[in-house]
Amino acid sequence: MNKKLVLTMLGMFSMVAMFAIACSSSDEETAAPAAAPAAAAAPAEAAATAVPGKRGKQGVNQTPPTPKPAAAAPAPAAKEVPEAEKLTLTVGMKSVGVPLFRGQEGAYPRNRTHWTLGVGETLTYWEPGTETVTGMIAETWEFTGDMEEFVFHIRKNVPFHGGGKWGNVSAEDAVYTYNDVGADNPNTKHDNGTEVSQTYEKWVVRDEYTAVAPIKTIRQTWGEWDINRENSSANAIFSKKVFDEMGPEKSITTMVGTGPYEAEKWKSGEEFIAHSVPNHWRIQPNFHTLHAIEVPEETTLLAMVRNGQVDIAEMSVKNIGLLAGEGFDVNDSLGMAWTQVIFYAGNYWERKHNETGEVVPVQPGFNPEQPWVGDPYDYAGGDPADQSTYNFETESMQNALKVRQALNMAIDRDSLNEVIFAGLGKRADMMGVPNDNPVFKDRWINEYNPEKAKELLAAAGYPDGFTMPYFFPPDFGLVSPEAAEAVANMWENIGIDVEIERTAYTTRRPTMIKREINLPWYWMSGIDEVDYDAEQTWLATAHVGWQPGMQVPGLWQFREALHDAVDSGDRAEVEKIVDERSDFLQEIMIMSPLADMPKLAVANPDTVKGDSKNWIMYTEHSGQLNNFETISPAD
Amino acid sequence: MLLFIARRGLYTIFSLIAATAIVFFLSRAQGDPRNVLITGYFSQEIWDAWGVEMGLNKPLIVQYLIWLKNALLGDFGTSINAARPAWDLIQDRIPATLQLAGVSWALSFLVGIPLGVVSAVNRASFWDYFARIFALVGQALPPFWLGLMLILLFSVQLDLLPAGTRGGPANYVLPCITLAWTAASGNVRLMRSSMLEVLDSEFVKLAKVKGAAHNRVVWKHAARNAMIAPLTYSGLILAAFMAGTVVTETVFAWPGIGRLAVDSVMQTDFPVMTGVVLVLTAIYLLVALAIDILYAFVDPRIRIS
Repeated sequence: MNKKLVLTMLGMFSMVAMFAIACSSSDEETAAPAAAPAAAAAPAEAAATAVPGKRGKQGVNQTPPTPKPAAAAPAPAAKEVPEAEKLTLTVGMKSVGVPLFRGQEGAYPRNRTHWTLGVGETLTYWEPGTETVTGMIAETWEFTGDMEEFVFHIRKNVPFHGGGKWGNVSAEDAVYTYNDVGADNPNTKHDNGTEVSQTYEKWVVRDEYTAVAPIKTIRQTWGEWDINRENSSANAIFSKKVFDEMGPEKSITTMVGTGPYEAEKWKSGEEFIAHSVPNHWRIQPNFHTLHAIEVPEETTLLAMVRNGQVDIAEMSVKNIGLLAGEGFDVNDSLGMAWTQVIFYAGNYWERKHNETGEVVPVQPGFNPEQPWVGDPYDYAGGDPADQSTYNFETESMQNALKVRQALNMAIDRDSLNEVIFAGLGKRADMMGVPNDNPVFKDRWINEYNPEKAKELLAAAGYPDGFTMPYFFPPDFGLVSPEAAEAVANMWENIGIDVEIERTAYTTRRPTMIKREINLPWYWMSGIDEVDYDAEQTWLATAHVGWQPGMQVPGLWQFREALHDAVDSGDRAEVEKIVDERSDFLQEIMIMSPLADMPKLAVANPDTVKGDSKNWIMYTEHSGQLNNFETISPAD
Repeated sequence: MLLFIARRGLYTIFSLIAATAIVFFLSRAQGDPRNVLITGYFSQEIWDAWGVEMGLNKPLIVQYLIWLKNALLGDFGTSINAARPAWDLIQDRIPATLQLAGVSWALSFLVGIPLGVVSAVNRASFWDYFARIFALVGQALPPFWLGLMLILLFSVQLDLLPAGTRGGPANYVLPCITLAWTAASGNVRLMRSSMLEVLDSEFVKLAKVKGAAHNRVVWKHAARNAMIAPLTYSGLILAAFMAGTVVTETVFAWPGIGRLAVDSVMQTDFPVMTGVVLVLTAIYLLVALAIDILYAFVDPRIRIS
């Protein structure tokens, strides 16, 4: 064969080989050295009888819980596991997250994976399936004075990963973590940095194992957002020593936590590998190795479950239904009430701050030219700077209301549940009140009537429909892209020309914080009790940070009344206020709840005990699988 | 020859600079890069401080030149999503893509070229029909569908191969077949048509008349001359594979640079986005340059012209 041709081919092969070899990639991030057997955990001290903290989602007055009596826990015996018995748990996930080991970097939704994967631990947590707050890194805690300080007593002899290099957890680490999250850090990216900075002054160390959080203002979301593991924004405690020695940049990716799994390799977009910590102070995982694989295509993940390549996987409800029929275990402990909802963003109607009374400027996203947005100040006598002139009966408001009612009426909720959620979800008609709750009223059931929807559009001045942008994030675990697409099709059927925007949630989030978002968009909300009033908290000018794109006068008052009623224990009064609030929401139609979508996981019964009885996950706000340290292998 | 290389090299450099400008200005056209940093702690002071830190208070052309200087030094900035240098993330993904690209390309070449030759030499035979159907099907089947069907058959039904992820040799089989089939189809068709043309040429007839063995005529004389077009096509395929194959990487959960590109766009991770586009452009241009040079090396007529 011709020499030149051979050389040419060799040249091409060489190029490929050269690139493949030359670009050597090191394992992502500094893995801690292999852990030496940890020091035995000190027996827990006796404590007062526990009073459970009042559980509830955002906003409910929550009684600070007193600590649960810590049972004397003998240190688990050090155990050398023979190589042959070192089991590996393989989990298929849509995203393995990103290694971010600094409080400052806790931007939603990527901030949770260090603790959902068992690498990090928080001060306290809600025990799964209970109403009890249990100490984790904090052994006990109390308020002092007239709620002036929140004092945490840090558990002794809890080592950081790294074989002893980074020492044990102390108050200094808790203080550093929370100050970095936002108590003293304006550069924080943590999605609850604002709330932390509003609630606390800079945290301080009182002694080696006492961390003090001086309180600025007690917020309604105190218990849920700040200190417990369940919430997506919970803060795993990071090592101050790592920060001091590795520096502010490198410490972000130095994988040192305190959890029962120690990260060995973490490559975002690819995989996460961790090994169990011998003699862990809290729990000894049954699986020596936790291997999470990122599989973005669900059909591939389905195949990997079927051929045994993964033991556990997260996937859509529909596919889990298929696998359940083939004998795989279904786990629903993540929570059954992730209400899929459409927000009709852009209706920024408030002009007065709920708490300070100051005049609030017109929000950047307010555009009453949009058919679904009404202007309550567009009439003779209306003053956009004076909320007392707010008028729901203006022509603009009534036409926009008809449009929103039409959009709502075009949605076939039953079909969404039957087809998209394989019948495993529940129809949802009212935010905050599940349809099967005794408080629910039939008058809140949304009629499905496309023909009437078209009539409403015509009455509003859009007989031929209009073009409407519509956003949903295709990459967020608790949002169903299939349902979102189905809703778009339903709107198309009534003459709306829907322009779908499929972008990552993180792309749109800044527009929510800046109050710029002004299009109908598909999201989710975690609710399971009628005491839950997050929608009031969101939809008020007093709320800083995230908001779904509307501000409604009147809802704040319901919130306060509801809190008072809950505090008084008068159930009848609570239900009365919920009735009034729900009627109000029905009347203004600024959001359309669709269905409660379960967040499910599937497990291979031949390799793991992954059903809901044997593996109870924390109800995690972003829907990430978690609590792998408690899973047992199949018999 | 040297002049040829120098000229081609210069074109490549200009193309690369033009690509950097397009990437930079398009990324700025998306909006203020500070938007992706906004959190609940946002305030005007912080917004202004970010602006100074990012150089946004400077004229756009100055921003571009600063960005270009940093990019040439391998500094694309820090990933907003991963809080790591963007280059580190890109570097992590390149080996996976190159390995998949290399094996797929080799497969497409080793299958497509000989099959094209055999098809042309044995016209209207079984091998001719087989090759033509192979090429037709390969070019018609969408890679997405093909990949999923291969998974269904070999991973689920037969349980012979893994369904996805990067790993040992078995993990390469299905994604490489998915990628290689389309490329091999092009090689088959190009090689076949080139061979048919060359087999009718005078020098081939002369070789036959002179008594040269059949195989020698086909492989030494005809195939060599027919190789030019498929070689160029193969080179461009290699460049395309190296630039990342999003669909195949997604179907098989292969952690390559194509997926990184899509993820960075979805997450509006500007530093990674611009870095990936720049690197992919550079890879493509450099491979194309190498192909041009090799092409001239092989065919003197190209050098002379």
